[in-house]
Amino acid sequence: MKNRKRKRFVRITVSVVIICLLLFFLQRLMMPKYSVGTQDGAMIAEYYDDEPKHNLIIIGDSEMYENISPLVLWQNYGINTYIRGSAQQLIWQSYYILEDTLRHETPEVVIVNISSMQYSEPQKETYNRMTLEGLRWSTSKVKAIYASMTEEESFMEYVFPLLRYHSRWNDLSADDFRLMFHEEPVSLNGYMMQVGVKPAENIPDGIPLADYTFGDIDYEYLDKITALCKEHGVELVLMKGPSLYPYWYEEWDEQMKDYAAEHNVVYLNCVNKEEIGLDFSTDTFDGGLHLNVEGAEIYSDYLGEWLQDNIGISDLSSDSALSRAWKTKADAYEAKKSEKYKELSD
Amino acid sequence: MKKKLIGLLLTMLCVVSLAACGGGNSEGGNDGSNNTPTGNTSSGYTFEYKGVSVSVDTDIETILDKLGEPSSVFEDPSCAGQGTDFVYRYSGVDIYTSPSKDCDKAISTILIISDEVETPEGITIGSTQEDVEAAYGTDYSNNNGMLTYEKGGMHLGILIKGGVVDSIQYTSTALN
Repeated sequence: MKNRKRKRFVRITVSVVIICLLLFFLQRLMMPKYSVGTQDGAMIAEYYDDEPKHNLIIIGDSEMYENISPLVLWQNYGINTYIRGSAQQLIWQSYYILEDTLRHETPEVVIVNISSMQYSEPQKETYNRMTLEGLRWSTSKVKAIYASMTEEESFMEYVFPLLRYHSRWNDLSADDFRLMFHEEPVSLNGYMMQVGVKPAENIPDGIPLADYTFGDIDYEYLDKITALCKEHGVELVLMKGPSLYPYWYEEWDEQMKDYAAEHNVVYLNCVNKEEIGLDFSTDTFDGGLHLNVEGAEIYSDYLGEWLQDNIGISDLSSDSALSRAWKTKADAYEAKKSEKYKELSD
Repeated sequence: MKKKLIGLLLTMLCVVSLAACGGGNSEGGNDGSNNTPTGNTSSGYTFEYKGVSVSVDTDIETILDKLGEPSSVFEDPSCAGQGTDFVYRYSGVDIYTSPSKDCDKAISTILIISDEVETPEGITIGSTQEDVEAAYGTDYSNNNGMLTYEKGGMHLGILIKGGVVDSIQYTSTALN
């Protein structure tokens, strides 16, 4: 009798384990592979592969991850930077990414891109997925999912992505099998390099708005970001990147200036800032929305100097381990640059 | 045991396969959709430019030839390849488009930017609030001087500054 019971227990246990394993493999197979598809969804997860010794963390959307070159910040100023960026990252997502980051390390300075203050509601599931899927599981991720979900989304689909991606079976390619367990990195410390030139022309003015006030929820999360940085002794810089479009209204700029003054934090608006030295007839690859690699290098050089002069950020260039790591990264950066130029000329 | 296990696995695969036949997009809702209907007609307020009827939530491609050459076209590719928005500038008016479920260039906003053009009801930049109320009535909501008329699933927003019209916007409610 006992033997029969034991056999039954073993049978059930083995069956459950096999089913779980099979579902796990299926899930890994079906999930989108950002490193060969829409690469903007890959960077949040890539952060965990870098040693958490950064003295500068930058959090925000493509205005950060396509405009700033961490290599220039290291080579010219000894600033060890990681950009935790994702497509159309919302302000509450930035907060939870900051929370997640502070579990791993405490940087001297955090820059948060505040262009997302214009959005008071989740925008699109695709963007949510690109931001949230790469975050490691923690209470921050759970809260970020609940704060971000559109009406059509469900929490269980984030816990078990197979429920969301099961219909990809007819889109599967060899890459889905090859990259099931390890995706290739697409960024250099969170920077997504772009090449090519498309001059900025005919940038539309902003559409007049009835009310320019940022939403309550935006301020709520900005307050949380400010409080969290103060709690951890991190210098917070609120930054608007140099992108010329979407339009950054003067009324928005004023609100950020007032907020910064009231909360004793720094606000840096880089839109049309002449001293940066950007030329939007040559330094952008998409008509003024983002910078190409030459533009990103110019902007990063400005930013590094600004951080040293105004914030007093440390120069870590004497750290030999970091220097060695950055030497390898510099080689990868130059190789990627050559590859991108070659693709452009082909 | 083998039979039971195979049966269990087959059942599981059937469930996954059936689920795979269900609706939903394959990549995180990557449909570039604003759920806007498309077509050439609208039950809302319609703008006219050079005798051509221009309505929000319709496909601009169907009227581009008739509108003539725009003075400029601005491309705004969205983050991560989720479609491209466009801004077509004509004399006195900007027409904004976004990808919708049914077409790549659904008109999302028509913005009158100068007194060179007027609405079919005769309102232009510089008209008075009294002119606006005479033309469109008083059934509007007023948010900081933006008089918003709702009709046929779209909004007509007329911004009053200093007692006169400062901006006229035809907007798709899909943008709300």
